Amino acid sequence: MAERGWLENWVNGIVQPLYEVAPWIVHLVPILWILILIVGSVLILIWAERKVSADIQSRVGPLHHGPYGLFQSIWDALKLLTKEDTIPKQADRLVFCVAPYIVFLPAILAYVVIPVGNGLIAADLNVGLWYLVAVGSIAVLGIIVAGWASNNKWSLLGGMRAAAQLITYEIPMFLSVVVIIMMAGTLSLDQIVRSQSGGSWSLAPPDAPFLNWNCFTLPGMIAAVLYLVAALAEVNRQPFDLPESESELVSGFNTEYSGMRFGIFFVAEFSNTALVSGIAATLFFGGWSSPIVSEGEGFWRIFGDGVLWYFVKITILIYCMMWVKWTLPRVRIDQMLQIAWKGLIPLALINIAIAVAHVAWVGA
Amino acid sequence: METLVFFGLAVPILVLAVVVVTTPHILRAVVSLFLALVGVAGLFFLMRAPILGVMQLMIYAGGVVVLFAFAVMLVRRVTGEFVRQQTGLAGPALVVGLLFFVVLMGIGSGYLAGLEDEAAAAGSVHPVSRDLAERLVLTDVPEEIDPVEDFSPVMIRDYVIPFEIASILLLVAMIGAVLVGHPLEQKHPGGEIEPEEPAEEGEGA
Repeated sequence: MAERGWLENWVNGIVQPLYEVAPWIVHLVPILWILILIVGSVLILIWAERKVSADIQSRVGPLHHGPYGLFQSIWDALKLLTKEDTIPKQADRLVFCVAPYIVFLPAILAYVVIPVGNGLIAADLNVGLWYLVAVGSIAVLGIIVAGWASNNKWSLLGGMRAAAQLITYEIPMFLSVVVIIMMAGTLSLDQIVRSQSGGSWSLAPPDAPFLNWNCFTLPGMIAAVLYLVAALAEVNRQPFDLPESESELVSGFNTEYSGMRFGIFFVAEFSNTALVSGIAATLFFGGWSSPIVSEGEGFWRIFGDGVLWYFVKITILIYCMMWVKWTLPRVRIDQMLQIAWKGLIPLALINIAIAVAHVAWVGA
Repeated sequence: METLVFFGLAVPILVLAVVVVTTPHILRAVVSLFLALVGVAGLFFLMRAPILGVMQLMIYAGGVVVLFAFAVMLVRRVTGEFVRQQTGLAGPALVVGLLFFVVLMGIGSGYLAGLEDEAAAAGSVHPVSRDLAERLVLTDVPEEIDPVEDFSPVMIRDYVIPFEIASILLLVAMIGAVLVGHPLEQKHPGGEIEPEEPAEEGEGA
């Protein structure tokens, strides 16, 4: 009770008058929330990446900073912050400095429409999914420009590869998402989650609401696989890390970057990983809705309606992405293009036809 | 708040737009154009026109500019290469630009006058002149209108024939680009596809 009194005092004493003076302050809350989400997930993911890779390669991974090496990412961040920030003499300084932020921009923009919990969404745009697709298509410019502004062979090659790869894999990604729009009949991500969380019309038994998820329909299942493969390529993770491929291109488009500018590319990669997992969870795996209870009551209300399931789902998806990363070798560039143009895109087009049949016969 | 955001977007957009046409660095021009277009998308969102905003992001920022960058990269390999931006026609360009501005303002104010008459006829408590920005762009859209649902019948029913004709035209342009850029024809190596690609991306507009 003492805590509640303290909280009430705080709200009445500080938040309320602040709100009366400047009501626009409420707009800052989602911004803060998105930043916390990005920074938090990146810090955890850097540690997780080290631990998972160590586990897969029969190593121990970081140990010394904090329990199980949990504070390793904070030390990493400090190291990057204190490192000298070099800019090549022949580089286009201005563009060189702006490029990392362009890569990071879509990660921030996209979180605006992701529903992390019941009602926990910064802006429920009625064009949410479309917005997501549009925002996802702008990161490639940052990578091209970074590779180009560095004025370095490796960077340029990395940038060229990134351009080919990202533009190519956007197509199967979008086509797989179209299926979800057809089945849900809406572009709002909140409503896409609600359409999967089960209702009175649902076919699934009440103790297994997860059967309502889009991934348990035929077109949804195909779309989920297509989306996850394309997402791996979109975030430049192995086996699709051709733009940076260390063994051939030093570090590809970010070869010349050091210090915190490199750190921003790093953060962008990890927050994009969390983001595509979040999108996949939202579109195909029921978002924040619970797989066990259809409507939350009592104890389950917290977990059934809450943020927990969202994070459980993205954790599993991210683990799978890391698993793939540390298991498979990198594909060659011709294989990369073949997978997209001869495999994923035709399959995605066929899948749209399957989805039409599904919507016509089974119902949306 | 909205006014603040508006100017926070509008001023950088104008500055970046000027940079696009004045900088001799072609790479900087591409980046400035990109940022200006993202800013315009932000303005659309501010005006509660999310479809336009998303279109702007997808087609211009995500499509056209990326293809510009790609095409420019195929043509020129090194940075620091300067392109001549001035053609000595700044004067006529200024005149035409001003003329265009005047025409646009004329159309805009005519539209506003119409709105004002309408408001007066309806006996509205919010005459347009009282708070122009608020009346016109910011709070005028009722919440229950779903632009997505209103948009699709227009696109797929009312204007389906122009829409399809445009897509056939773009398909022809694409096939033409492939033919022109085909390796068998040695006359046009490389960068010939450059003007075609942005046109292809404009399909959804």
